[in-house]
Amino acid sequence: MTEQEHVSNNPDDLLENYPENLIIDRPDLKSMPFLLGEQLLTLIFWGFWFYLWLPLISILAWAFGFHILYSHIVALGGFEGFLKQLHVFFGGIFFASGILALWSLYNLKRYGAYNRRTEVFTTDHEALEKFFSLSSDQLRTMHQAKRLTVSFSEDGSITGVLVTTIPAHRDNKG
Amino acid sequence: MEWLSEAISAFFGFTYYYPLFMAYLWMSGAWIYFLRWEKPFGDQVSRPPELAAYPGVSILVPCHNEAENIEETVRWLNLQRYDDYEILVVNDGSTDTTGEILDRLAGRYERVRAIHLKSNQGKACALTVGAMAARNEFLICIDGDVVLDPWASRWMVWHLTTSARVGGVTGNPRIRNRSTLLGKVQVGEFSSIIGLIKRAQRIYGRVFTVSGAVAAFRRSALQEVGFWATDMVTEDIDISWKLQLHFWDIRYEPHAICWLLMPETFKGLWKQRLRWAQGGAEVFLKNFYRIWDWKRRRMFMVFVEYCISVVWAYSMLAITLLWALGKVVTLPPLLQVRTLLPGWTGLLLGITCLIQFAVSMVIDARYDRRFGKTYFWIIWYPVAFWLINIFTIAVGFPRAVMKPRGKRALWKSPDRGLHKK
Repeated sequence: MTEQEHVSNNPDDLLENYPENLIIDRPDLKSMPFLLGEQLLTLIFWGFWFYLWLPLISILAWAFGFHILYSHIVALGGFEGFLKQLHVFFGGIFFASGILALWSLYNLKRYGAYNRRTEVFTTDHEALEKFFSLSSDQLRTMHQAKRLTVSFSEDGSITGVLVTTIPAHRDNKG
Repeated sequence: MEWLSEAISAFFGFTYYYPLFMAYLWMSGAWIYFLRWEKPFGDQVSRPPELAAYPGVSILVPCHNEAENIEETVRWLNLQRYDDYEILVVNDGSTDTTGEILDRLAGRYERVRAIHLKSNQGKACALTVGAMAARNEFLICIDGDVVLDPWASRWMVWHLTTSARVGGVTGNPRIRNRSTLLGKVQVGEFSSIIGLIKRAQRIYGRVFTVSGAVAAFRRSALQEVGFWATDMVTEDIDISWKLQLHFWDIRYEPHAICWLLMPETFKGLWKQRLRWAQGGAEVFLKNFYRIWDWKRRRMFMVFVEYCISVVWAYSMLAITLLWALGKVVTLPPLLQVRTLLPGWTGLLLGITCLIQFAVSMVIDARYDRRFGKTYFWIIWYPVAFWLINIFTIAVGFPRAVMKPRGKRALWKSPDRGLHKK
């Protein structure tokens, strides 16, 4: 972020080119070896990703007469092995998706139009005062104060709520 | 011994197939959600539905040592396209200049109110004090380093005003810092995993957690559950479970966008993810006995999903250990792991991941037009995600078990990316 952007308070300045102006992509902060290293590593990793596809590549290669990666065909049961896995694979997907679909349908039927909370609740201020051990006046003051200081005991209970004024600052008019 | 052989074989199958099936479960759930709830609104974040009324909103910003970010966060909050709102910034015992900056901002902006906690009490306590001091029933809680989209309040309040049973709404966090590989990978993560999971969980009927960076709440719902717990390391997961176990709905609103900074170092990322894993385990342990109630059956899917993910993490760890052990001693044939390369399952995993990225692109690119640029980098994510998951659960779960009950969770400012160094 530049200094100029940092001090600007004009809403139009902030919204100009939003949200692109929020994205921080600063390759210049990285050293050249770091930058190239990341790119190289990611390229290598894409290579590894396709290494996972070796069974398919080996089938294709085999089809074209290349007997590479023979172990994938023998050790893993060849294409029949793959088909066997596909069976489990699709079975699993349908089972999982089916359960999800049934569950969501059940939810929709059972709870979609079922609403026990028809009344719109609002905060019970008396309960709030009790919960925080505050008096009505204290709570009202808290709701109105522009600046508050809250202190705590060792065990984390509130021991004091103080309404304080905002210290004078030359930038406050901003 | 045949049953043992079959059981071990099923165990190995589970470790390879679990990520595969989860990917399809998330994709199908997200797709149903997209067609049912998202697509009808189009891709215009700046066109939220009109509300019958625009009740007052209090935006709570708890912060601790946020001197570098808080001014930008507050400046953007003042641009919300909503008439009646106030901004409460809670300075939780900061030791840097956050307090002075807040006072200056409170003086400059009419909507801003400053609350100073004299000592560091943790995010949950800061949020609770903010809720206590808030003038309005609807609260939007964001982190101190977050930029909230100008239309986000309207999208979230829409849910709270249209259904009395909605206790919370979680927004859609997008990552700003994309300078390093870790930043770019997390951009993909938030779309292709977290975004899909949130949508799918809405189809389950319950979500695992709201986003700690951006969520809206009904204060009366928070009051009913006793506000945020101060002894949980992830107060967002805890409040989500508490609300839902009290039969409040939590909605996901992908149009309610916020922009946040994420760690760009391995150390920062590890610490953050470990905290998430420990927090998830703490909430699981806390609610383990409460969940077994037929009335709370809508939480079962989220509960089961979490249980399986923990079992899977330890299973993967066990298989890796068996494989490593097999290199130095001769194991019984049943326990031998010849290779960690998944063979045909790897092919299916590889294809599945690319499909998952494609689905997330179709659904999510509308919120972040630059998302496509990160596609090249996203290839790291599946392995990185599952590896991080394994190790953070393996370390975080025992930590949660061993943690003394009632111990207050305090916070430290996390790694916020390369540009902050």
